[in-house]
Amino acid sequence: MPALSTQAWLEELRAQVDGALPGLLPARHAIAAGVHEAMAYALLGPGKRIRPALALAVGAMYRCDTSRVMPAACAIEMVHAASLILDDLPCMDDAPVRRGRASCHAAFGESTAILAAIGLLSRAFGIVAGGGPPSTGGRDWLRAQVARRLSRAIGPDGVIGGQYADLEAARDPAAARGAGLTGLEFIHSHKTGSLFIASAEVGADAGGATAAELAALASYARNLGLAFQITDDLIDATGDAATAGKPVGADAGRPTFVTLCGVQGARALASELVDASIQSLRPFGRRASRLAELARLIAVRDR
Amino acid sequence: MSWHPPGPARREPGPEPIESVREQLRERGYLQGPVARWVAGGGPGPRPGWRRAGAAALRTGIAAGPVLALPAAASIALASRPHSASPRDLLLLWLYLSGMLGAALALLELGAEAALSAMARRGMVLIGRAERLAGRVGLLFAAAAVVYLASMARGGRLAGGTAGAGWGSWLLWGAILLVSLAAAHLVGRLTRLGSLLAMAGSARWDRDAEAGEAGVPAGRRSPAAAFWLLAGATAVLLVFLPGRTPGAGPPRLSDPFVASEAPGRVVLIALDGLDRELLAAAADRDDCPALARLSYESARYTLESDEPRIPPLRWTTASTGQRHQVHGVLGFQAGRVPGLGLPLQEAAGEPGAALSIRLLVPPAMAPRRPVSGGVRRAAAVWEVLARHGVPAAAVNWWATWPAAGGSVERVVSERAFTRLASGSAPQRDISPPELQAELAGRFAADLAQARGRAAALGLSGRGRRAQAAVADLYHAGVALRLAGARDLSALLVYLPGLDIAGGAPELLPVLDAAIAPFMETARPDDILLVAGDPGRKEDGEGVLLAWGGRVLPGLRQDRPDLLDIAPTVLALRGFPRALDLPGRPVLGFLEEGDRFAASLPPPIGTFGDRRPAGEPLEPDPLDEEVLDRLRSLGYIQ
Repeated sequence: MPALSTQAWLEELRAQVDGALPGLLPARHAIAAGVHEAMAYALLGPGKRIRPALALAVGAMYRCDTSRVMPAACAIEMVHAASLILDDLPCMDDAPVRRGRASCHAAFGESTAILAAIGLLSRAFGIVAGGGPPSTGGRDWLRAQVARRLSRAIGPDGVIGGQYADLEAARDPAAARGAGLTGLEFIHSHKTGSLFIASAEVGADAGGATAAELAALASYARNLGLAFQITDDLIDATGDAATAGKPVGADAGRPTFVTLCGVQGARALASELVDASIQSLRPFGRRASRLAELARLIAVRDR
Repeated sequence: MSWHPPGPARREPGPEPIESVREQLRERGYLQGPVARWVAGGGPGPRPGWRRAGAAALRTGIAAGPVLALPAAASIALASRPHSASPRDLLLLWLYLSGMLGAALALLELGAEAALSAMARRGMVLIGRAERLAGRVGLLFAAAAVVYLASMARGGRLAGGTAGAGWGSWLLWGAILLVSLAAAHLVGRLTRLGSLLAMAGSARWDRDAEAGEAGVPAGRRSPAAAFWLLAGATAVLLVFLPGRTPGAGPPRLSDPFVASEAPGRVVLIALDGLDRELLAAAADRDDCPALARLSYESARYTLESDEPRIPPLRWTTASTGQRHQVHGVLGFQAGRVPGLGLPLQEAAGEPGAALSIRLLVPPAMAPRRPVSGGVRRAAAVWEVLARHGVPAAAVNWWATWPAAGGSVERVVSERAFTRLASGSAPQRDISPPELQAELAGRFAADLAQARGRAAALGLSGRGRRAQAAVADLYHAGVALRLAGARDLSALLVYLPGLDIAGGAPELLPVLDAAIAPFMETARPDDILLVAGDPGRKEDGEGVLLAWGGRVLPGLRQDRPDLLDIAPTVLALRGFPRALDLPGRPVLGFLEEGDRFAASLPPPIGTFGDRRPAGEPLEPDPLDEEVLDRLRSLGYIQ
């Protein structure tokens, strides 16, 4: 059978994730149908599924069975979906559109959206703990390890810390610009990078990676996460809403890599970060070629 | 509370230069430093494997060579004491070794890359397992290094040499062990080197979930900063560091003193390979009357020394009264790396350093030459005496070539016999010039006489024992002629035949024949000292015999050291004790010992330094021949 192109392979991974996600949602209850619908709406809507794809790709590099990594990969996607619900809330970014359609709070109301986000987060940990079929692999320490990684990626050292810093930056843009790269990198590394790293690490955990390999993969994901976010900044500054699937220009007035070093500078940095992430894969040789291609695809996306 | 970290007052900046942003990102663990990026080369991609492997190998060598060379250079410099390396020497040595180690590592890396590529072509993707395997290979190398060094120490032998190692300097051992471990680790991880360096540039933080901490150490610099800092410091040091070795200034002069009256001559005969057991055996033989008489009529001591059992080293210790760390003669051979001030010797007692020299400095770069007086930095007895106007002579003693005596200092160097036998003029082998002419003119006759006497004792032909006997008898004859000079005050002669013959009893009559004329021609006031050293025999005990009309015969309980010999000879010539010589004069065998000791001048600080003129290791056409001879005698391999 001829090998799939990376784009096709990524599509296949995405399809697998899309296929697995509905089954991992909790059983629907008529009385709480609203929150169930909101969770499904936020989770199952169109998305790039970059994070679960990353976890699955790392697992595949270790020739790990997909079913072994899939629960953890889906849990990460749930965390990501929850973070988007919260990010779009009126008290935060107040974004009415997400992924080309109404954001969760716009569709279900603010209170339901908050409950849906919490529901997704708690469900993610339930899956990791082995509550949902199939299990993460049957070994308690591995489950605990994945749970720890997820907890850290979500908490104040991760997404929540980054989101808080982002909100503060929006509240006081002048101060944010004064903080320069320090503040900007903090936001991106926590808000985006931490989940990228967690994705790579849970895939590596399932594959039984050594400490050196984990460090190499973390370096890959860290560089890739920042490249991903800079590309987001570029899309916001130069893209169009139809292609991006969300309003563009939303970052105007806030510090971004585009405001920090211009469009050309941001493009160059994104490219160099992708190169650096690929360099980090050198210990894996040709086994990591899919991951390298994944990094290149992320760098050239327009949505 | 503000979200941003505390710091300087806020400012409203314009767009930042891209390079500044890059640098800040590197400090936070993103991107890669130029060095790491350069070493790692491209990531997985379509480039041909052989090009990638070649580039990675080259870059690995360039990056890793200097890292390994630093401790190696330091250990070699330490091993070359007392020829202390100047900082410039150390730097040059580091550059030399960087090149050699870099090339070696690049070749190894190339081989490893080729092997991995071949495996990959066969579908054997062993990256994860290969890494663990490589780690074990590294451990294997490290274990082998430890076992090898330990076996050298316990066995008292260097690879390819006969150096008595002992446990030596722990500092050097530690340094060499570290080098070995580092090398082992690097070799073991060689196929990972590029990626490790790349990771060093980018994966700066510990994401250990158990520790529960994740953060980027503040203010960490990229490898580029360290690389450029090192390069800059090297350039500055090369330009500004002095090129001469420390202490290369004017030599210390002797403290002033007036020697006391000392009657008679002192003749010291060094018999390498003679221990108490062999001496007792000789005394019981019918064909060794002189040795038997010497045994019964002399004051007899057990001679001790903790110096490494290497003849040039030990007998230079005896002739200078200084330990090998001070006199600088450490072995049979020495090498010289072009541009370096320090001679590289196989360091006795410091086997790790010797090993590093052996492994790291190829013969083509530092050709080995026989050890010579060029590396001896302490004055020998005959030199001290001659400096103060007392005529003295040395025959066949180690580290006397090139001979540089004057009218009061007569030297027949250790190369004179070989030179004369080759038919060349002994210009730098014998001094003064008139002695050259005399010995050259008589050589054929002297050699024939020595051969005849050896043959009469049953040693003829071209075998090792016969050659040793002929050389000993020739040197004894020359020494006897010098001792007959009316003005000579002290004479030292070295006869290695017994050691060369491995302590064979057949050589005892030869020694007897060599010693007998000195006893027969001795005047009443003369003192004959015979020093025997077990040589390469590891369990023997040395002997020191004092014979003469003023000597009280009998067995003595004192156990003098090799270091005591030079002060003893000097004291017998009325010289004071020098406080920079660790030994003490042995005078208890004299009838008037206490009175004589009291008559000596008060101790002085020093008899002065010796600074050999010219190059430490002058090339000599005879070098190869001397080395061949040392090999044929079993001293070196």
